[in-house]
Amino acid sequence: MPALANDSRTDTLAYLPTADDRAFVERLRAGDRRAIGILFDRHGAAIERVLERVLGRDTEVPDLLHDVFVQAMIGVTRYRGDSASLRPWLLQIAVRTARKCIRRRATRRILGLRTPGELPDAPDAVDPEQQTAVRRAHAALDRLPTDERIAFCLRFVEGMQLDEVADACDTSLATVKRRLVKARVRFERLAARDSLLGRWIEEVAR
Amino acid sequence: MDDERLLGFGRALVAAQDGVRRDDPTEARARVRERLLARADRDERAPSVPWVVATVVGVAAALVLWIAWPRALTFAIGPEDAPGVAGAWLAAPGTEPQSLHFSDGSVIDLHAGSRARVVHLHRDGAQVVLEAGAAEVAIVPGAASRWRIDAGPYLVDVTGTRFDVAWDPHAEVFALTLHEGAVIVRGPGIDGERAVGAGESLRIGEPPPSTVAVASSPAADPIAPPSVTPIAAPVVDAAPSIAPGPVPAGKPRVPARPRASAPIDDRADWRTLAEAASYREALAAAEAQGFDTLCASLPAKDLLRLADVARFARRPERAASALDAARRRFPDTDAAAMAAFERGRMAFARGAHRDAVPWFTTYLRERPEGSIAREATGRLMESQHEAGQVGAARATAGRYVARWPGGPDADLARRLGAVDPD
Repeated sequence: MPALANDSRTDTLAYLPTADDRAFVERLRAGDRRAIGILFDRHGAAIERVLERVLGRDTEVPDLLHDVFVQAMIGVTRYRGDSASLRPWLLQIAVRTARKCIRRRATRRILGLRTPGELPDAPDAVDPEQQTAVRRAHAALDRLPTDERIAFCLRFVEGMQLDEVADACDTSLATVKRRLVKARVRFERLAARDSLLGRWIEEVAR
Repeated sequence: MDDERLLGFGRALVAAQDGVRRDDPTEARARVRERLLARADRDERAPSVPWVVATVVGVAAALVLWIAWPRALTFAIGPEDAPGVAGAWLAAPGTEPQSLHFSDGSVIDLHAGSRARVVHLHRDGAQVVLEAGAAEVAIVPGAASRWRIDAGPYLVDVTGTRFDVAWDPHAEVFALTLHEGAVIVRGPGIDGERAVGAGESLRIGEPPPSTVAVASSPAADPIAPPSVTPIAAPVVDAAPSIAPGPVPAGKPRVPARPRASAPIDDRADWRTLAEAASYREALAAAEAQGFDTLCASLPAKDLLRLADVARFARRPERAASALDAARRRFPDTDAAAMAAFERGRMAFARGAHRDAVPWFTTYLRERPEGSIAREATGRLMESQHEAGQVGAARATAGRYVARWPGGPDADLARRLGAVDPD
């Protein structure tokens, strides 16, 4: 069996490369039930969290998490890396899945259809003003172009480093930097137009 | 904002997200894991060729249908074309107009301080509720065009036309000036429906509620929001200095309004400044006169106006004082009920839905048949829903659908469980 260790950045168990790496990837390619379970146990929580950081707390996230791993099961036949790079590869699939979800929702909005995945009601104890500010923050993020929003969320909400964002988005560092600059300008403009959101950001960003 | 501040924002957003989590993430993941393994058991990783062909054909057919299918209009807000969402409240800032651009080329310019909501968007038009204030409407003509503007209790059915419309909920005054085309107006004080043609204006005001006047007005005086002159009062242009000039045919008019930075006469009365949409200056003038003194001496209608001025000047505490004074000094009047509605609306606007509930309830208790009973019931329902008062929201939704099955909030009411009356 592969060795396990705590990932210091995400507090999730990460898969460390061992002599069994190739065998593990082969088992995934063969559709081995146990290997798929291990893959999910190692990376499921981290992938779920990235989806939530990009999309917000959302009832659709479990389905999207499922989609990510289904895509992985299908795509693993073409996977050429070792088991140590499985997580970056899964992150790329997660980002593509989130991007598709955002675009699908935009299409549904254009067609006037209801979009699934609304935030659940907050508990009564949550400050209504904060609740409103959070809702508006998500609305502001919703208004960013998809790729800019993903880069912005991975960098500032998930807290990834720039090279990690570039890797997850499967693009160059320069492109990610450009997207972040544009996203920041747009987000600041949106926040400036909304006094409640602006005030909340001022408070929490101190 | 620098990186550190944005990272701080991100951390706060994550904390807030985690704060609203009600489900158990481990349990949810376990269910995903089960589904995944069940799928692995079924070994569905390699779709068969016939399945791929059928999928491609299906997708192609859907694409053709999607392209050919007539779609509902969309709209964008303001100069940056921010995407508009049906059902969301729109408020033009106190000193600036706000434009709504629809995908068929139609334009609605909300005057400064006006509030509206695009309720429905369909392929041939839209339904827009003008809650208060005024708007200049330019609808692109179309064979099957179906546009409706709801201004308070008045319904304006439109095909292709250009007109100004205003609704002042405090004075309960409706006004419409038609520049091109024709519209049909229905509502209180109108027997059945009334057609209004190009060059005509229609004003309906109180008292009495049945006062209706249709006047030929080739010059088509603009309507100054939100102080539309009631027909029963001496007819004086509310703010002649802000009248827009002639408009080229076919182009929507952009309101020419004085900006907040325009020089203001120190001796000007707060009402005059309010008419000129200089709300901050108007409030400053009211404070110079003695805000508390005004609250203790103004008639009911002016108190509501003063509350509006304070609200548009972004001074909600002053607005609340004026509204509370109206309720205290004029109990059991329309003004007191309206003040309760306004208090509810202020709470609603800042997201304090739980606080908004008793105010809307108060309005409806005091004026169950009032001119804005429909709006109050809709707001009450939405506030109860947002505050998590599920049972109460459903009950209110039932009452709403029973009274206004075609009302702007009827869809929301049905989503909340209301059943249409037989």
